[in-house]
Order: sequence, then structure tokens, then C-alpha cells
Amino acid sequence: MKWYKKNNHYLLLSPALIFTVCLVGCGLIMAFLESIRAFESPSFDTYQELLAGETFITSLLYSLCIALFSTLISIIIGLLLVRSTFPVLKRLFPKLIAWTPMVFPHFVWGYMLFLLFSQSGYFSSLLNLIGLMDDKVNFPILFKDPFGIGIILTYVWKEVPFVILILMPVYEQLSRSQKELVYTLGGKSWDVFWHVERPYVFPVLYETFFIIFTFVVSAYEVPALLGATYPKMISVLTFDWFFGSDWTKQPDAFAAMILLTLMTVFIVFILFTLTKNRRIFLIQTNGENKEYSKAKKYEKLFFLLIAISTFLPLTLVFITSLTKKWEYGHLLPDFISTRGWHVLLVNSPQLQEAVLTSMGICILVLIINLLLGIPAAKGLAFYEFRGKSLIETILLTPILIPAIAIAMGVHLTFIRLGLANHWSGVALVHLLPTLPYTIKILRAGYERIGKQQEEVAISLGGHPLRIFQSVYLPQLMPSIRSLVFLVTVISLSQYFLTALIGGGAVTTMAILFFPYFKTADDSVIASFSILFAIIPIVIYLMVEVIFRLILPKQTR
Amino acid sequence: MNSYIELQNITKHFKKQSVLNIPSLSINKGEIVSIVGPSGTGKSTLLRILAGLEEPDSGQIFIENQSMAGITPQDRPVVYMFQESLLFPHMDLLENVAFGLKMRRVNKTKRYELSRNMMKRVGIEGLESRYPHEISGGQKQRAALARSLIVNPKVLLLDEPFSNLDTELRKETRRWMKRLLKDEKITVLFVTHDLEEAMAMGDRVAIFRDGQMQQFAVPEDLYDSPANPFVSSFLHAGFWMGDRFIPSSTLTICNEVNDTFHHWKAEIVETFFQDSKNHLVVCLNNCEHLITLTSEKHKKVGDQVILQEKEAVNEKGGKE
Repeated sequence: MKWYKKNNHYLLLSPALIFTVCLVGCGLIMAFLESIRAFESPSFDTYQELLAGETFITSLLYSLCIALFSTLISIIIGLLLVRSTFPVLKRLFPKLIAWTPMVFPHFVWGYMLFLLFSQSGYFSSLLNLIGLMDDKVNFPILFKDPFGIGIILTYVWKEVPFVILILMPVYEQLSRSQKELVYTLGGKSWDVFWHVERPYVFPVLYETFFIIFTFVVSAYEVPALLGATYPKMISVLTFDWFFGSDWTKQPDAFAAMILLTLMTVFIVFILFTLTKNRRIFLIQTNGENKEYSKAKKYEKLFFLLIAISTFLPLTLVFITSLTKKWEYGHLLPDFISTRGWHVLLVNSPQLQEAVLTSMGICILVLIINLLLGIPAAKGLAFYEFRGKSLIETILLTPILIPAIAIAMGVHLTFIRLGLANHWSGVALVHLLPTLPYTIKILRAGYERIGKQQEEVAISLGGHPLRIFQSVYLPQLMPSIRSLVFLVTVISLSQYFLTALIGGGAVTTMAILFFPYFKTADDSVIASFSILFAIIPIVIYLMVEVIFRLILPKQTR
Repeated sequence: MNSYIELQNITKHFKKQSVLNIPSLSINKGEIVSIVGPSGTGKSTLLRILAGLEEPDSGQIFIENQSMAGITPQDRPVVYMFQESLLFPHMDLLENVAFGLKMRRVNKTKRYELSRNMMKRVGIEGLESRYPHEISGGQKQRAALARSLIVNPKVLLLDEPFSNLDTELRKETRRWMKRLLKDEKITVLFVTHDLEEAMAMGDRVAIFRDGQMQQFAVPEDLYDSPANPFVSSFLHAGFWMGDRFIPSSTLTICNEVNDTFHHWKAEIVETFFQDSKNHLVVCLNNCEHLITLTSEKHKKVGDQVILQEKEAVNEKGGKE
């Protein structure tokens, strides 16, 4: 009893910790054993062959380059946009507009950009219309090109809103008085950036860099749809090896993922050590100071840029979904019809099943996320203890280590446990790319509310569950809302993990989208794309209704 | 044991450093006790231990002869009030005040009725549907007090409740609060680092240093017979000459030296005019002691003066 009282935080953290350690640990060990064919005659031959062959090395370097460029460009653009439009972005509607791309899975957004930038896309068509270009072949090849421009474009377009999302709270916390101090001491705006913003912004940027880089380097979906046949990104190569007809290539797939894991861990470790002494979490204000915002130069212009980059692909995909015929070189579609929607919703019985399966998985993923995430977030927010940074790192590993490597490793274990080929198993692996975000978001929520409210409530006679329900849950709602969106979208975006653990028996929307994408029937694909954004909104509304029922009523 | 709250051998350590060590402390029913001392001397820790928010490493606490060992903070007849009002930001004032009753599952009609009455008592009626961010600092403290009093605590623990208010509001709030607490006959422990506040609020005052209670007495006794040099210098009460304590109230500034009596040279370090009197803060030349005196004479900072005991001056005056 006494131990329990004194070590409350370990109890809060253990569910999430045990889950993460089991899944990540087991996954990596099993993947390693498979890669050295430990179950036949163990050897490192596979590694030697991989490292000697050109295919793997090219693919690895290609992946690293694309990831590096995508991440750096996203972070720079994101930082510039937040700095130049911050006062506008604080308001609700501008914020929603900036974040809208996040509602679409990466590959769906990739398709939307494909509609804009491909050789037969809208921009090419427009150039033809105004007479600058006679034929579509003159338009530069941006998609399925060997340089991966389309892939980088998609990632940047999608990650910039993510960077904005991460940086906004930092800029909201920056104290105005420190800026003014620098000005009165004779500093210029560069000095303000360097001495006031940098100490708070850079640590966050490092972390954002890790997260985006490790995601892009190992993500499968976007390069699979928009990449060239050569060179292939490492994840696509792994997929081919793993699911290909040649069974002897399977150990190569495992070895490739183990090497990629080592590579990312190595890079993250190097960057982490280099930036370590600057990664102190600093809190400047208690959030109570209401800073009046001075309008920035060109802030409207920059915001217009954000709005265009959100609405252009959105409008185009919407129009395309209602198009029957759209000749190249025409400004507007020639025939409008709802055929795309009709084919999708009426003539594809598979789709209805896929929507239901996807939503079921999303909801299960959400529930487990909240059950594991809420106590863990509270433990991290309210307690200081030995080994805290280690535990934080462990809880973050699922998004730093390629989820594909882990999933391939636990695949056999899941088969034995009867979790494979079933939607519950799929939901479990979907926790890998979502749980770290849930914990991060909820932790920030708890830190904002503070521990003292709990002590007041205890002193006034409240018991833990009642305090959670009437004091913390209502105040955590903003955090829960954003994580509902994030978790749902991430779960909907998983093709590789779902295909692997679902083994063809679990048909989610992502699984169905890939074959559709190859049909080239644009109005159907466009309708399907929009459907992807509708699901998170539906789930969000469902969650909202449920919480309205749980939460104590505010009316008297 | 006749006392209402009884503490025995309470100790508490953080990282092997003692932060609190109280051999014994008894408080009577209905008494307001001020706890004062420099910051970081375990004052808040004492309150947190009494509230059950922290456990002492050793020792026992009795409230009305009942041991508090093993009693959860929820079930203790004690309410803790923080520095900031810490009203729940997502509830309006009525809900905030009714919170403790809600935790005790008092039905809605009853708890809102009781809360309205309580809000009337603390003088914030009419603000029921306001949210904490819409009201002033003084109103927030009143609401927080109402929220604490509504559960009828036997003991109220106040942790620097006025520190976020500005000077005038502080004084007004503390006068009002003392009257209310006396009317309610609640036993109160009040932590502050402000000496004037401690003296004004407390029936008795406990002076803390490094987790140890230096002295616990009524204000007059503290000034007239401080237990040790720390207390006297903390209060600016006077200074020690060997074993003899010389209260500053007995000192006066004289112009010429009378050799038959003790005198001390001192330097003026601050002067201020308050309550129609001229106050001088002086520093004795041979030791670092600061003493505050009132004087008719106008002096400047940096002036050297001579201090003598009043009796001595009077005697001398009598001879002439």
C-alpha cells in the first residue's frame, strides 16, 4: 500500500510502457532473428549480400536523401510561415485552414497534388490553355520521376501543417517582455530571434526533425503510389521482397529493415548528442499573460499563401470527383455528373465493408490510446523521478524506429496468438504510430492544467476518479479533440501495416484505395479521396457526442 | 491532551536534507496561528503534511484527539487553500464553490442553495454565473475561501493566500477574512513571509527557520522576549548584549553621550515616514543588527547616531 502510494507514477506509466517495450522489443528481436535465418542455419550472409549489392545501397541512400530534403524544407517553410503569420494563425478559422491538409492521409494528399502537377494535370492544362505549352509532354515530369520530386512535394505539403501545429504553442508561450527587453537593449530583430526565440524554438524543432525524418525515411505508402520504378525507396523494396513471389528474398526484407533501424537510431543518436545541452524544456510564462499581437509585415500575404495551398488541391479534387469528362487544356470540366460517387457508394459493396472495418479499427485504436495514454501522460506531466528521460525516450521509440520493422517482426507472433488476419491485431499495430503522439498531446494538456488543481480537489474531498471526471477531463477536451483527429487520420493512412498484419483478410479503406489508384478513373479516385477526409470528421462527431454524455452537465 | 491540534515529532526529509523537524506543537480550538519565516523553511511542507498531501517521515498528528495516520486527505477534516486561488477555470463560481459538496454527493438543489448562502457570506453574491477569468483577484480569493469553507472543515490551512493581491487589497482582504474566520470559529494555520500580515492575522505566531520552529508565542512576547538572536533579528525587535535582550522599543536616539549608561553607535540605513511617524532603520556599528525605531528627529541616511535605553535618558533628564 505504501509502495503504491509513493510510486504512483510507475503505476500510471506501466501500461503504456509495458505495451511499448513488449511490441517494440519483441518486434525488433524477431525481425533480427528472421534476418539471420536463425530458425534454419544462422548466418550473416544476408547482410553481406545486401551491403555488397548495389540495389540496397542505392535504395538506402535514396531514402535518406528524400527524407532529409523533405524534412528540412518542411521545417524551414513551417518556421517561416509561423513567424510571419503568427498573429493571424492564433485565430480559429485561419488555424483550421492551415491544418486542413492534416485530415487527409499522405497518399490521398499525394494523389491530390498529382491532379495538380502531373503531366496531364491542371497546371499543365492551364499552361496549354493560355498558349505557353503546345503539348503535355513538355511539362516537367514531377511524379514517378527518378528524383522523387513528387514524393518530396507531397511530404513537404503535408508536413508543413504539422510543423505549424507543433510550433504554434511555442510561439504562444514566448514572452513579449523578453522581446521588448532585447529591443530596449539595442537589439535588432535578428537578435530577438537568436536570443529570445531560438532557445525555445530550436529544441522543439530538433524533436520535430526526428519525428518527420524517421517517418519519411521508412514510410511506404507515398513512394509506393508516386515513386519511380527505379530507384525505389527502401520501404518499397522491402515490401517487394517480403510479399514477392521469391520466398528466399524474405530474409533480405528483414535485414533491410534492421539496417534501416540501425541507421535511423544512429542518426537520431548523433543529432541527439549534438543538441543535448540545448534540449532543456523551458517554460516561460504560465499562460496567463495575454499578449497583444502586433500585425506583422505581409502577414496577410503569407496567410493567403497558406490558404491557397490548402484550397487549391481541395477544390480540384472536389471538382474532379464530380467530373465526367475534362478535356486537356480546358479551364473547367466539360461534363458534370455524380457518376464517381455513384460507382463508389452503390456499385462497390466492398467499400461499405471497408469503411466499417476502418471505422471499427479507428475506434478501437482510439480507445486503447486513451486508456494507455491518459495515465502515462499524467505520470510524465506531474512527477519527477529517476529514469524519467529514459522512459520518455522508450515511449517515443515507436515513431523513431520504422514501424514496418517492428510489424514484420511481430507478424509471426501475432499469427501464433491468433491476432493476425484479424482487425483487432491490425488495431494493435496501429497503436505504434499513434500512441507516442497521444501521450505527447495529453501530457501537454496535463502540464497546462497543473497538478495543484488535483491537490485542491483532493483537499476538498474528491476521489481520484471523480476528480478526473469533473476537473481534468473537461479541461483535457481540447487535447482529446486534436488527438482524435490525429489518431484517426494516422490509422486510416496505414497501408503496409494493415496489409501485413491483416494478411488480406482485413480490408480497410487504405487497402482498397491502392488498386483503385491504378484504375485511373479519376472521378472515382477523387470521390474516394474525399471520403477519407469525411471519416475523421464523422468519428470526431461521434466522440464529441459520447463525451457530452460522460461529462458533467454545465447547465443548471 | 486539551489542545485541538497536536503535532508530535514531525520530521520530513527531501533528498537526505531535513526540511521539517517539529518536536511538538499544540494549537487550540478556534485559534488563528500564523507561521512566518524566510522562504524555503518548510512552512508550506508543514501545511501539506497536515492536509495529508504529503506524508511525514516520522511523527504523529492528532486533530481532536484523533490520529491522522492512515487517513486520506479526502477524509481529513482539513482544507488546504493555495497561494493562487486555483479556481477551476472550466466551472462558473457557483459550481466552483459547490465543488466540495458535489464530491460528497450532496444533491444538486441542496448544494447550490448552500453555495449561494456561502457566496453571500463572503460577499460575492451576484457573481454566481461568472467564470474565474472574468473576476478580480480579490473576488477570486473570496470565492476560493467560500469553496473551502463550504465543506465545514475543522481546520483551514492558508498558504500565502494574499500574495497575489496588491498592498491595499491585501490589507482589506485579510481584515475581512480574519473577522469571518473568527465568526465561523475555525481553527486556522496561516503561512506567510510577511511579518505585518502574520502579526495582524495570528492570535499566536510561530517563527520558522530551516525547518525548525524557533518560537511560538503571542506577538507581544515575541517582541519583548525573543527566544534567540534569529527571532530578534528577524523581527528587527532589538539586539542581545550577552544574555540580556534589549528590545528596540526601549531604545531612543540621544544627542550627547552619557557615560554612566550603556550606549551604542549606529548608522541610519533607511528612513521612511508612515502613520504620522518618522521611522528610522539603523544598523549597529559593531554588529550587523538592524533595528527599526520611531523618532521625532529628522535624520538622513548615512548619519551616525547614538542609541541609549530610554530609562537611562529619563534618569539623566530627571537629574537635571
